[in-house]
Amino acid sequence: MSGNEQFERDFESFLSEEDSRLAALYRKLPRPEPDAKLDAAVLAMARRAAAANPRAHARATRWIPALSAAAVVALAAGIGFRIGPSVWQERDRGALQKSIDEYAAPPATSAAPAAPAAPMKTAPSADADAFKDKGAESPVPKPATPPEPQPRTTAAPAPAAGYAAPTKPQMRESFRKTEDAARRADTPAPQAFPQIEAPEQEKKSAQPGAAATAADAGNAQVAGAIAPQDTLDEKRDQRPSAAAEAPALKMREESAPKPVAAPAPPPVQTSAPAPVPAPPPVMETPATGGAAAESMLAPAPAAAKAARMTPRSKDPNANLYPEHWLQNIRTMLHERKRDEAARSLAEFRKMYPDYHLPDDLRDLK
Amino acid sequence: MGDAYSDEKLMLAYANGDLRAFDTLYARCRGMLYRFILRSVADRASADELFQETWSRLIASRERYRVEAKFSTWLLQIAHNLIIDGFRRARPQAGPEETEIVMSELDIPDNERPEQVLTEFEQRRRLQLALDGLPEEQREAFLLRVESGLGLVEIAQVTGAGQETVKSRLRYAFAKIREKFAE
Repeated sequence: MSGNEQFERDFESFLSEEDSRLAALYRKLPRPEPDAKLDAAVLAMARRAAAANPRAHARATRWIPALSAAAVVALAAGIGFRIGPSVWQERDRGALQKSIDEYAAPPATSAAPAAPAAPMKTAPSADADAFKDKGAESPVPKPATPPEPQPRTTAAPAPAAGYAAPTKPQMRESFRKTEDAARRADTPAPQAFPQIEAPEQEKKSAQPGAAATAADAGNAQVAGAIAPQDTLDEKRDQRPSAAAEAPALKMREESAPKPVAAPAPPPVQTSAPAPVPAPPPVMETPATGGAAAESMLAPAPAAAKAARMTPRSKDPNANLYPEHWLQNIRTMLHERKRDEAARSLAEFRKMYPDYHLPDDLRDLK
Repeated sequence: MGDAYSDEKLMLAYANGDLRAFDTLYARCRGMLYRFILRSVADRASADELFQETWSRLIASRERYRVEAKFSTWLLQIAHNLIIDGFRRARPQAGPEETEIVMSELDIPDNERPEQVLTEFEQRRRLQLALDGLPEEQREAFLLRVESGLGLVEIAQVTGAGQETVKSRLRYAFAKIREKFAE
């Protein structure tokens, strides 16, 4: 056996853990070990680390991101709920303003852009539009001087654009509601339109307008159409106006219609344009929602629709909402003006042939 | 918690907070690790420092321990890296004179006193000198094989070298030591 072969055999035995001579010799070398002090230091280190329990700490810290995320979500939701309504309101207003702009940009041929804004007062132009749409001739001549396309008048149709949205079934439903309310109460309807109960002072201040209306019938209709538009503009511009802003302010104060048995509206309301600015307060109510807002909202589109669909009347009450008109008819009856009441009711029936009259007026001839 | 448990299980138990597992593990590995380090650096102070640092690293990284290899391989790998990283490079290899001093300081059982077993002592001294004379990589491979009982694969894992390289280093170390004894 050569030296190389012997070497290889010894080396293989060394590698294969067989009891080689070299390994046996190595094991006879001194076997130093760490001293007790070093052992104590290492064991103490291990105990300190275990006491710190970083695993438990890691377990605890594992939840931190999840908890942080949950907190952020909750915070965002809270902020959203707090800010959201105002943002939505702004958006609604933006959409409304857009629709106003779209509607207010009158086509060159349009003579009365403000028609449906105040349904009862703007009957002429509204009717004109309605009849023009139908290809029919308007039974009443248009105002001699159609309203100038002023910013105020052009902006006025805002509520109309907003109110034109309800569908026929919705309008029917609103009519039905108001009629039910009228049937239930001795003094029906007015609580649905508390804004018409203008304070005496305001009524007085509104009376000059009424006088002007009486003086010039044609201009009165235009003025009637403009008056609520002014109110709307002023409300939008946050510039309060004595006569026009008062009902709106009152509406804000009475956010929910109080079940007050409203007194019969004085006759001055029949010609005064002051009570008409119902639409502006209605503009603000959608955000509050609820049945009260619905009851306030409902008559407007219904009246607007009715105003478009019905011919004009010379009865001064024709400028009022149907419920107010009926209330005035009752007032006439109370004042023993039965003939006048009957005439007015006849006019009413002419204008609102589909209106379901309350029981107390149904038999009046 | 006794010998029935492997080093790996003990390490996992310690990672879960079982201190007795660490005590057992430490008792098992302390001598082997210490001798590997001491014979690698030939300086007791440095060996102590490296030994403590090795266990410190192991304790710090216990959460990341996975049973992918023998525990002793992982432990020796930490020690190897520490030796390579700093202490060994910073200090020149111990010369023969220093080795003599270290050898004289080591505790030797009474029945193995040089005067009684002079031939055997001479053999051990020659072995120690032969080890000190080896190149660093060869000595380390030899110590891992003889002292720690690692195979080629494990030595390769600890040192980061290929198996054939390890085998070659061992072959050279084996040949030089035999040659030393043949003198």
